[in-house]
Amino acid sequence: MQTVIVVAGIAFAVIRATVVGLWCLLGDRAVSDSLVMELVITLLSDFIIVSIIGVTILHFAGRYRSDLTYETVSGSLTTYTLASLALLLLAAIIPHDVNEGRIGDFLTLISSNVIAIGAFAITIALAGFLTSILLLRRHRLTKVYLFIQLAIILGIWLVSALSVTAQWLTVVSATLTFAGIVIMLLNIRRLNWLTTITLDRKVRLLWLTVCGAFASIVLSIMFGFGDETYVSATVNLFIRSGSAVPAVINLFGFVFFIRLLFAIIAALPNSGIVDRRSNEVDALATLTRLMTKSTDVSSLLASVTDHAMRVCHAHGAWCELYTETGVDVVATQLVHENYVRSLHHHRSIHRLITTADQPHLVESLSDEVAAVDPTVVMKSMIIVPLVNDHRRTGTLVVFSTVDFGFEQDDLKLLTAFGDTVSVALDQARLIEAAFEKERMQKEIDVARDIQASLLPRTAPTSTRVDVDAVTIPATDVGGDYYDYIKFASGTWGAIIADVAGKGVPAALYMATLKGVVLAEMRMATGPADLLRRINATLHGSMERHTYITMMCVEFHEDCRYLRIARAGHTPAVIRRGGVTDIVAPQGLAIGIVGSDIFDRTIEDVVLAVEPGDVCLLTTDGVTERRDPDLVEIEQERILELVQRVVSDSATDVVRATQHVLDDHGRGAEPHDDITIVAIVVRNETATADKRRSLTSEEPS
Amino acid sequence: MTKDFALTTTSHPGDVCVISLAGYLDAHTASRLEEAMQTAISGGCRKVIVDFAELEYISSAGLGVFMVFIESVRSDGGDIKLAAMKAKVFTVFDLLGFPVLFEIYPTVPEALEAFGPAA
Repeated sequence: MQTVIVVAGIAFAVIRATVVGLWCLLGDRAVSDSLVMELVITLLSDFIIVSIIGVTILHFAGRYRSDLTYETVSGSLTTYTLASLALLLLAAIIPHDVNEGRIGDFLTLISSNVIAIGAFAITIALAGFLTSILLLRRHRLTKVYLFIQLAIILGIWLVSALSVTAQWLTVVSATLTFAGIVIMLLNIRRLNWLTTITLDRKVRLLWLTVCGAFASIVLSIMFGFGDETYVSATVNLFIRSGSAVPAVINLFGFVFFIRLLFAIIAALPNSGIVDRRSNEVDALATLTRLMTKSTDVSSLLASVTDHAMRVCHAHGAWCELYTETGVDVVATQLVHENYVRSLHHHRSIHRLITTADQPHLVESLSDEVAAVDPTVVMKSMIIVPLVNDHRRTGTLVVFSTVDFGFEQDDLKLLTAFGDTVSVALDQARLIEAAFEKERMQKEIDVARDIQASLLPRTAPTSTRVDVDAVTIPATDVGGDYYDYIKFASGTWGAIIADVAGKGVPAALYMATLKGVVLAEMRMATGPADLLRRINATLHGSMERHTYITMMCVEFHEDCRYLRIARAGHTPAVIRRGGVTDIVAPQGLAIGIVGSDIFDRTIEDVVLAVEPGDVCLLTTDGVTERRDPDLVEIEQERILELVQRVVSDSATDVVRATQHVLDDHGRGAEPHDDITIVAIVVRNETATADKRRSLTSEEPS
Repeated sequence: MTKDFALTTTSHPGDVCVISLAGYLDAHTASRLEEAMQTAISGGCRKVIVDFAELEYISSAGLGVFMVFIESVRSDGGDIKLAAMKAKVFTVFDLLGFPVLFEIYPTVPEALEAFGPAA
């Protein structure tokens, strides 16, 4: 849209210049010689001015919503001043030949057009700029005043066009001008935005405003002198009495600039305070942002020290943390960490930094520290202790290389800093710890899944025997293990094992054990033989304080007998023919002794069983299950349970055992892994309907 | 039953040390027993008697400690003898088959006597 208007405007200007050129240069006449010619030229001039107004409106309407900032104001001011200067230079440098409204030569034709159009462009742009500023900080009457001003401008234009015929109209023109100035002053009320600009920017804006005011008054005067100056004569040639418009608008601009100038000057004295406050707010806001963003302590401290240094206009800063091993210099700005470390070799400086319990301003280091080394570049510093949970965790130090480099205000600001940093550090450490914990937990989860996958999924079951088991680790990964195996002879076996200790080491042994069991079972002739083989393999490769207790029960699918061997494990509880007994064949735990002793002591016990008999294998997590008062479960309760349980489902027996344990535990956390393996000899006829093929149930 | 664990080491003539345990020996307290044994053995003590009279409970981790030292002590011509166990603690040792490995005496004086005339 803007481009279209610009192109149209340029086209009108070219047409107009061509027409004027043909008429004046070739015909050697003035435009005013012919009424038709004058009307045509005026119409073209109007089109050009309308184009300029259109572009200006579009330009400022786009920025109308954006906020008033130093950048927009100073940018516009600079453009205005430079354009005005260029216009005046052009008018002064280029020789011109305008007499009685006649344009003498080609150069004059071009320059007069450029000057006239330029004057309108600058003036209208200034009007647009002023309007947008007033609208951005508008009050109730801003729009009304703006319309009045527009009316005044048009009025003055009309009056100056008519004043050729009546002299008294000049008075009206002057009155209108004065009214316009008053309205302008009334319209500029809100210049508060100036106070938020920093001091150096205010000073820059002050100079720009002076330039703007100068440019506007010069333009206003130049255009205000009727045909006596070349620029106003040119503009009047462009459109009749046109110079009134730049004269009035630039005068209004001058009023605005003067008012702005006073506002800036008035705002200068408290600039220091405003600057500091806004710096403080910025600093704390940035700090908060950093806190929420960075979870990593070192990057947080790096940004904090950098920040602290900036807000205090310090020459350097660092942050040190105190660990058990000593001083840890974590973030340094414009100072090397080795230098900071060497500072701590000065006993008095070290004491000064590390013992401050309140934020402390050292105005002159040589005053506070006797016989300070001349090589120490820090002359004044602010020491901010970082405290976490009443414990001194570190120090934030900013320093200056000159004495009295800081003010009390800096100290106050850094005090607020110190508190925030302490909190942030605390937070970052917690988050780091949480991440670490989460990572560990993930690994442990994987370990637990792997461990769970090591346990068998299907139990060997026939019409005569039912087996089931459960293991509940006390921690995420346990040292308990059970498995179902197949011996060389084709008989079945259930094993239960407990690795001494808990957690990951125990779980690793458990995984090893699984491998050894799988490797040895197909060659083993029976439970005791299997345990012997396992001990022979594992003894010597286990840590000395670790051992594995284990029990193995062999049974045929007919399940006429159970063959049991025990390697230091919790004894089995077996009900045979309605009588419950503890069965503890001799045998040492695995990994304690070599084959010579182990093989000698371990034995197989063979027990004949009949339908209804139950064999319960447990780990010491079961026999030592404690209630909240740490009282262990009595062995009688387990015996009693086995005595009275009536079911041909091993799952029921396992569940019943768990129930008894939960009953005793009364919600207390189990302190050890709990594993239960139940073997139930079934009554063949009763389970005929549940017949399942043994061969299809391959154990793992 | 108490969860506290206490340990005292007393030296007897003839390189004999008596380590008396009381309370609750489990994974958390086993390291203290291990330290005490290490100190005693590296202090030149080859004949160790562990007095269980006041020990209420022993876990698998506690049992493991004795196995750490037994071989080295025996190869140096010494021994670790266990004495005065409560029935419950003895059961734990017994189930693991420890009586095959360790000499267990009803009282400390009997254990001292077993170390022979040098004690």
